[in-house]
Amino acid sequence: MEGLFEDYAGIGFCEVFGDGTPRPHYARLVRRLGALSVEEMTSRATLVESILRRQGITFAVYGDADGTERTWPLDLVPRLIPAAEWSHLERGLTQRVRALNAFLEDIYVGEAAALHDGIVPAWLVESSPGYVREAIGIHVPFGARCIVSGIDLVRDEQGVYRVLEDNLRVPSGVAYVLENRAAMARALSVAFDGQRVRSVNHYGASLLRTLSEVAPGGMSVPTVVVLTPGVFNSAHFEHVFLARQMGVELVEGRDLVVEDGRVHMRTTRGLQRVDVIYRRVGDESLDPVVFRHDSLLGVPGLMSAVRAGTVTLANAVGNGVIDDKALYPFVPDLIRYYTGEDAILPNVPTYHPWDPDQLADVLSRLDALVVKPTGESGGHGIVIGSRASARELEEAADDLRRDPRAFIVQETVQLSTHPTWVGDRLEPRHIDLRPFVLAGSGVEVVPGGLTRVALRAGSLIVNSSQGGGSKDTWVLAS
Amino acid sequence: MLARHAEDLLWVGRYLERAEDTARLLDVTYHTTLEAGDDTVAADAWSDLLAVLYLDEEGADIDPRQIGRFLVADRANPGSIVAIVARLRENARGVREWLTLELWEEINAFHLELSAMDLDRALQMRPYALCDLVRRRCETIIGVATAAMPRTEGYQFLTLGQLLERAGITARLLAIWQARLAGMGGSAGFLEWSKVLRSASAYEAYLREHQATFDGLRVLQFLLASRELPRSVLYCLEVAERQLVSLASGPYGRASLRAIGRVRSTVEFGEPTTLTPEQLGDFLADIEGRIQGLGRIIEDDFFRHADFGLYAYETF
Repeated sequence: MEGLFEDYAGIGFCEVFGDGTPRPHYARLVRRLGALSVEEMTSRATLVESILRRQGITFAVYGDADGTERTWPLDLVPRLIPAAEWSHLERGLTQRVRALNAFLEDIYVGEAAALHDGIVPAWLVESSPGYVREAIGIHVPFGARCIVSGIDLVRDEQGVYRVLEDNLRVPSGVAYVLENRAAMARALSVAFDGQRVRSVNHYGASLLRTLSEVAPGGMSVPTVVVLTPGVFNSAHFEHVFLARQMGVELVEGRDLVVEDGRVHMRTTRGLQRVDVIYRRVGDESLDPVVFRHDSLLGVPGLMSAVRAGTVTLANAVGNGVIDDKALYPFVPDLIRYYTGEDAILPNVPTYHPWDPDQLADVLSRLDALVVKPTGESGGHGIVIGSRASARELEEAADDLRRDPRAFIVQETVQLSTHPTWVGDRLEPRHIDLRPFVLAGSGVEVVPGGLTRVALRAGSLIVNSSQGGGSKDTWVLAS
Repeated sequence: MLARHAEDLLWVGRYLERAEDTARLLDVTYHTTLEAGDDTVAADAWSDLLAVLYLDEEGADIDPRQIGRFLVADRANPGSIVAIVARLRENARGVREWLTLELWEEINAFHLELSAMDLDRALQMRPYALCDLVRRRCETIIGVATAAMPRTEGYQFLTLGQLLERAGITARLLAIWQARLAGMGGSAGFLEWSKVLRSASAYEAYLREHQATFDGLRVLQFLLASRELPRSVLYCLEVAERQLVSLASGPYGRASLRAIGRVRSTVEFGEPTTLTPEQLGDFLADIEGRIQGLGRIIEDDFFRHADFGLYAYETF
């Protein structure tokens, strides 16, 4: 290795190098980037920062008093996925989303067969905060309850892709996938030379097509809108981006009214009917009549219109039951139950502390495991045993004994690492991958997804709210 | 388009105009006070400035030396340039899908630039340069909007907001100025003429039209009813009216068209030269008040239809 990669040494499974030489699909990139000088890399890093900042590509950090907005951090070194690997991921993700849709249909409009057959304990579903009784009996076209899914993947020490968690409510990040690509193309075009990188630019068109498919009664040109909580939401930038990419209106709850059982938006020329709502607000804030009465984000009467089938919500209400991590360990079983196939993408080995045997086992070796609250996201509340103090471990053990339903315990996965530009050199940093899956009449996976990178040395937490960055993700054409 | 978006875009237009006007008026006032013969003239210039910007109450107790700071850098003052630009950017963010990428970038970059500047120091060292910067940025933003925005509702509401604000400021400027002149009993001179003309970016245009022959009524009529001057009240109202003609549809916009047509024809066909100073004051105050009132009428016409309210709570 030479140039910028001269002293580089990966940690754990290195995405780029195997046995000290670049993996074949990385060879060209290593040559191109390795030949750049430190000054060139630094000036390009500055350029990327200024492109993103000038465009206002930011995210809000809640609870951050000074300057609630930060520029989206994009690393200069792209993450590459070869064609064969991608087709494996694509099949696995498609299979998983199909099975999860089937499960949600089963519990909300079917006979809850998976519960009766003992695949998932019924009490676990019924005790889930994400299980929404108001959604029972609400049908959706094609049974597509997860129309947009973000499935988080990691690679373990052997390089095996595993599913870390499912995000089936309002997954965010896809705008950054497209903006990362645009910024990289401007700042580091030299890296693209001779690579056949699959485009991600059609996402807006694919999303609109999928949303149009699920319109009530199969109308040909439905009115689609994006519903945002407003400019103070951390993902507002993305909501604007998606509305623009699709060429549809970005509405807030106050722009919508329900009249005669139909949803309308308030325009300068009176009320106009709305057929499909790509909503980026949580279930609890959708409709103050049915859910949180104090919410100002929602639309009174919306759920009655949804129930009457005059409007389609994407995603459907009640998907949070899967995002509840307590159900995650059962997903491979659900895949086998609904598709008759084994899961193509394995889970991370996971234990449920509500089972006394498993509890005893995990308590005996908690310092080697990871404890996750079932109801949290964004990396909050996670205890990584190997890095926790004795006191933190004791507290975690108490939590598990006191409220076992509220946690899962997982084997520690040493996420794969990837060369990342830090300051003035390349250093290994842990990464994950969130691909985005669209499901309407069929299933489509956007090539690549959002690669998140833990910018702090050694950290396994990739969330942008906790010091994470991102990488442009290239799926290479075969 | 969504009523809320239309309203936000109208305010984007208003804020842009407001920021630019504040910078220009401040700049003109600075220069006036530099050349003012005595302290009273300077004090009057500062209080007139605050009055034109409708900040005479909030700014009443401010030391004249601090007025620049109050109008530019004071975040607690909603009428300060930093506050206006922050709201401009906030509003633009809420309607980003209506703005071209370049337009949004220009607005965002302006906000970031101002936020990063040491404004107190800039005001102290080079107030002219700072005012000039604000004006140029606003003009660039308007230029980018004019060059690239499709002439659909979004552009029309933005333009409407900008022109209404501009018409209002010029009308207000004339009303305050006329009151000041009336108080001086005809002793006004070059300083006053040039100041009001510069305040409306009309000094050079006036020279070309009337040569360097200054006359109170001529200046007034020029700023009020010129068909060519982009900041005359008549010009602004005509352009704003054209936007409303395109925007109106059926019952939506009817009241606005009537109201703007009326005030426009008063400006167009009124004969201020025949009035006594006292009548003239009433005449200008009436025009100013009616222009200010247009905002509310447009709101009711396009943004808060009576039917919205009914439907909103029906489901309860």
